Amino acid sequence: MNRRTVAVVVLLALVGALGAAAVVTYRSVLRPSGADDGLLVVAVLGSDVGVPHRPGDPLRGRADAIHLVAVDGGTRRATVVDIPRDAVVAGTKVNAHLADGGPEALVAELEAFTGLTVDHWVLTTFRGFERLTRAIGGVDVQVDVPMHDPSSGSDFEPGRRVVRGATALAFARDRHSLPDGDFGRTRHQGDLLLALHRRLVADATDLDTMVALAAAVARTTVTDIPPGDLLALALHAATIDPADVAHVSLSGQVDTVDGASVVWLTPGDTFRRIADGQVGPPRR
Amino acid sequence: MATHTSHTRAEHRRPPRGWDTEPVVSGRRHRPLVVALLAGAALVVVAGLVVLLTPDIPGTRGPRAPAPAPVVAPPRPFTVDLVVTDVATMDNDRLFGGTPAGTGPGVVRAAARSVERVIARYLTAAFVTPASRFSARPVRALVSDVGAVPRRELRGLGVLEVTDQRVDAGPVDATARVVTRDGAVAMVAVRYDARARLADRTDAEVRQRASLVFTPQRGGWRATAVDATLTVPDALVPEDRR
Repeated sequence: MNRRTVAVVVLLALVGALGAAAVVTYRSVLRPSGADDGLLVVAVLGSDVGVPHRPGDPLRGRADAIHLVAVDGGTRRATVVDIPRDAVVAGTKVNAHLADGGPEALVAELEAFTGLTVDHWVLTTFRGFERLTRAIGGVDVQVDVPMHDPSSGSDFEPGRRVVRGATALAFARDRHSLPDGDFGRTRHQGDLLLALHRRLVADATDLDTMVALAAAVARTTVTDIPPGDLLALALHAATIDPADVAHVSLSGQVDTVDGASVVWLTPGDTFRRIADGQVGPPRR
Repeated sequence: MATHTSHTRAEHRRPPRGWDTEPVVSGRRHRPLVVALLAGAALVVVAGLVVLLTPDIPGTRGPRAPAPAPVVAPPRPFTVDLVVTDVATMDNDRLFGGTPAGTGPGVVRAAARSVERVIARYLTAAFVTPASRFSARPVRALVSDVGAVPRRELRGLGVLEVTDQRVDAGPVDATARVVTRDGAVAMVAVRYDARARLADRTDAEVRQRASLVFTPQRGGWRATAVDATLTVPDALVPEDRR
């Protein structure tokens, strides 16, 4: 670049800077209030019934994914608790309560077991989960061990990767590739929930994208959250820093009862701490 | 013997007999009239110069008719043509093996037109209409439950509280995503870019880029979520509000 060109560029930059200094910019961001300052607990459920994998009423399938998401609206911190599907709750496997009495029955047993009040439930199916992850453009997850399982369709090498649709479902369903079997699978499902939240936070700067996301959640799930509140809750969830979300994967003693594999959960003080408002990662 | 006759000068100046001796305007003969006319003209010119060059003395001249006021066109309102770019459903029938019933295109169009009118009314009231521009009133009609929000947080929506600044509406580019549920429109997410000009400065632009979500409420469509950026010439705004 010769000296004359440099001079022209500098002159243009000065003129531009002078022009830019002649305006003032204001921004207004208004959001509906999505939650009060108290504790909000949502049960996130995955049913093993639903077209095309297993035709039937998804609300009367077995809950193969059970997670409690506790959000403290005041501190904007959250905890995701993974509950193994074989955990014994109220004398039977917890996932059977969905088949017995639907989401409300399962939620009632979870409340009795945890001592928490569950405010809402959200249920999806295999197809719903595939479509949701496709609609949002995928989520990124960490694959810790090689996952190659024909029954779930997983085919991943270790490392960070984006999964969506069938690959997201395979990541959520594979337990055979994991050294801790069903506990590992449940933990991976929780990882996916955290990844969904990270995606929400990344998209939250654009209202239009958030509306599209709320619509995608609505059409790929069944929930008792009023449709008019979905966007507000999503916007509220997006204000939570992913670093302020704790992930607790419950485990316990594996046993066999009447030929069926069960888990005697050892939740420790997890639920008591949440009820006491100790939500989110330990404070430094 | 030759005979000759001699005459005196006076005799040479006398007109010969039989000639007409009445005065006519020409030559030396009509001087008095011409002189009078020239003198009158000179008098008129001098009098006119005196009037022009003498300043008005109060009380010495009569009232003048008021000059007609210049005709000022009323401010032009904003017009919005909302382009629907996507229609998404919240219906979850497919989870149960069914197909969503869908929402009729007429219903979608009607909702889009309603929201379009709300936006046009807001922009016009917020930036053009003299009685309301740059005040909080248009925002209260646009956004639900905005009463408790501090005014400084509404500046992006035009609440600058400056007066005496005429603004002329300009073009608006607007698109919408319409979300349906159970055969009705549940939400309309709008993005728009609206421009206007300060009337006394053709190079000074007021520009608002906004993203809003409208939902149907009692009384009509109102925004329940807003993200608006307003850019104005700094000369428009007092120092303490920049």
